[in-house]
Amino acid sequence: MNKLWTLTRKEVLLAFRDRGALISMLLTPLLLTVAIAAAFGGGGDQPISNIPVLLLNRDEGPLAAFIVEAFESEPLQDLVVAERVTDEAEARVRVDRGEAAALVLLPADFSERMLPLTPLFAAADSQIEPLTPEQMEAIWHSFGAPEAGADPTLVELYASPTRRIGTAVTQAILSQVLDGMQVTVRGVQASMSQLAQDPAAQADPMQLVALSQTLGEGLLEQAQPIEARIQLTIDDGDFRPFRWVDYSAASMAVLFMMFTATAGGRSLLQERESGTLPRLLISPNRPTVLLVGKMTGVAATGVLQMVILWRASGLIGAYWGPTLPVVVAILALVVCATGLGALIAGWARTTSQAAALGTGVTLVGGALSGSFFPRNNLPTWVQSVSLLTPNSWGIEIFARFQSGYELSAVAPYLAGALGLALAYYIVAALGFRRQFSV
Amino acid sequence: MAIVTVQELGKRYSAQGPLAVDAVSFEIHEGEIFSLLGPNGAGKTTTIAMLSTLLQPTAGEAWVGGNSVRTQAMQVRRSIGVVPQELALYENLNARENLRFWGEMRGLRGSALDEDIDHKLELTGLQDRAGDRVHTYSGGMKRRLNLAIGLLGEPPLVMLDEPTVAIDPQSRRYILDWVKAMRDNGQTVLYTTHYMEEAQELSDRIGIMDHGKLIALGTLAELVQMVGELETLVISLGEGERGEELAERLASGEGIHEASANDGEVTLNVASAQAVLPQALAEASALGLAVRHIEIREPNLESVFLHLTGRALRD
Repeated sequence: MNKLWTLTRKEVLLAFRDRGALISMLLTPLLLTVAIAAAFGGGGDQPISNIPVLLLNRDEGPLAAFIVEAFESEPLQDLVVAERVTDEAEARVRVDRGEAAALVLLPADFSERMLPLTPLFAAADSQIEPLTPEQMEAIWHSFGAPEAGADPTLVELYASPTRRIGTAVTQAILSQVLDGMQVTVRGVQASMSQLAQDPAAQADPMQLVALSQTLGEGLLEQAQPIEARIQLTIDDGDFRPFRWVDYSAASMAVLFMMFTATAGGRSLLQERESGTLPRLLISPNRPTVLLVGKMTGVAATGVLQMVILWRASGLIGAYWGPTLPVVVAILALVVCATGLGALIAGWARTTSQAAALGTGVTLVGGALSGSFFPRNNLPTWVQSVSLLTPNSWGIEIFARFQSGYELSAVAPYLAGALGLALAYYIVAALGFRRQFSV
Repeated sequence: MAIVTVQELGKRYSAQGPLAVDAVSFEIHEGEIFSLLGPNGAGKTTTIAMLSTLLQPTAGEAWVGGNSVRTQAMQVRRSIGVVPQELALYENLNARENLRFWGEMRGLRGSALDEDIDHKLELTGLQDRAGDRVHTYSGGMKRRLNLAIGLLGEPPLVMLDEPTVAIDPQSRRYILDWVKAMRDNGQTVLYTTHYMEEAQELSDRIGIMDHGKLIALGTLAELVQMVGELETLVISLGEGERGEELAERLASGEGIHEASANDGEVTLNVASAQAVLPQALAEASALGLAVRHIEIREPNLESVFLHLTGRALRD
């Protein structure tokens, strides 16, 4: 244990005495955070395109189909990528993972509850027959106020907290479509009310629809509040709004901690070339102690770097999440990143090879995982591939903490980062066995 | 009593590669300075690397303090201090921090380590610069610190691999005196060098290595006896002139046993320098070479090496 402490202390001392390294570890990420926040503003000016939306339609009626078609319509093609799904549980998991911005869930009775005369319209499409007074009477009574205690929800919007912009866009589209329907419903209600006062009258259903729309639009122009029989539920908990300064502070910290971790791994090869590693290897210590000590030192440096960046970015208003979850996340991510550094050190032949690999992996991983822009805008397959980098897990984890998720809810992501770390260390151990006969 | 026993030790870095160390056998006695002398690439460093357990031998066996370097590496490491040829130091730490780090890695702690560090700083003359980072030191100061680290904990056997390479004469003298003091202190020293003068000055016994083989072993007197009554005649040529052709012409001359050329110098092992000198000067003149300096030396390790290999030690 004493030897581990000796090795760790040495690594930290060396890292924090290197002015160049300090600039790279601390100053650069802070400056980039400030620059990104200043450039894009503090709020949600994320680029908006190709927002993945899942549509689960359990209703066979025409109104739910109309909503699905609205999301799939040509004017919205660049804005949203709508995908019809059938498995609700799987769809919710995909939203949880951030693979989709939201799930629009249309219940089986959507059309029926939205407009009870739907079956009559369906019948009217095939044979236009005048409505009888009895039919109109039945329709009129069906438009009564919702029963007390009844579930007012017609549509559920299950949203990803990490895709706040996508959620907002989906909600706006859905609201617009539903509002249009509501206006029509109210128009029908009004016209039916008039017709019901004259049950002897007979009406052509198509004329009835045209009349109801006219009346509905008139109601909208009068800006009278429409009593919502439609309730929109967004399962987004108590989320904080997206802010660039939060996102970039955490993502830049993770990115530059990756540089530290890969450089730390590389320093093992530098020590071999400078002669200090051979000298260590002939000291009365097991090689595994030396390697673990080295990596512990690199990890300690990474933890200190992250903590300093966390507290320093707080001074410019960045929020990473509650203290305990952030500390846990920092530890998990540093362990993961150090594993990647060890992997590179274990398999690179020379310091320059390790430097090239470390920089390449960090930068490409950073780009793929969303260190420079929100990862939600990346294609799904890129998001999946990027989960092989610590950056992705870091961004996913901090995004959730920043949104207000509890530690327990983020535990699967922390486990994912640690699982990736384990994989890194196993591959690294094979490399070390080959290179250093450890 | 032998503190190191080496039997038929061999090392081949790759299956098809040449033997870096080829069936080397010797013993080092407790309390002596044993030097391995040889040109660069002779196998000295590889031998030390195997004895210090950094490299596994591919043939033979060696024991340090009775422990096998193959199977009891940890026990071997506890009993040795190694001063590598490279400056194995952390340049962004100061001298005291370097000594503390390496001392702790040897398992030293507390006041014993503090005292040892102070003692080593005093010996190296680095007390006044102990708080300065190593990258601000001169080459000689770094060499001294490199040496001091290897001596932390006063190990019974110290291995020094070319400790005086590329340093100023003052630091070199400092180190040589220190090595003698180690012997006086009861420590055993394994010293490698390609400087004949150092081996002659320091060593109780000397092993001469060339191309991975131990080609001679003994005290200085025993080794010199190998060349009998021969004298060494060294002819230094003018600046930029090469002596290969002159050495070739003289090699078959009467009374000349060996001839070699290196860096504008022609070295001859001769029965009588006085007898050979006129012929050598005539040949040089015939080749248009300017003779700048002539030196006649008593038999020494240089002439031993020339005698054994047909090459000067610095070839």
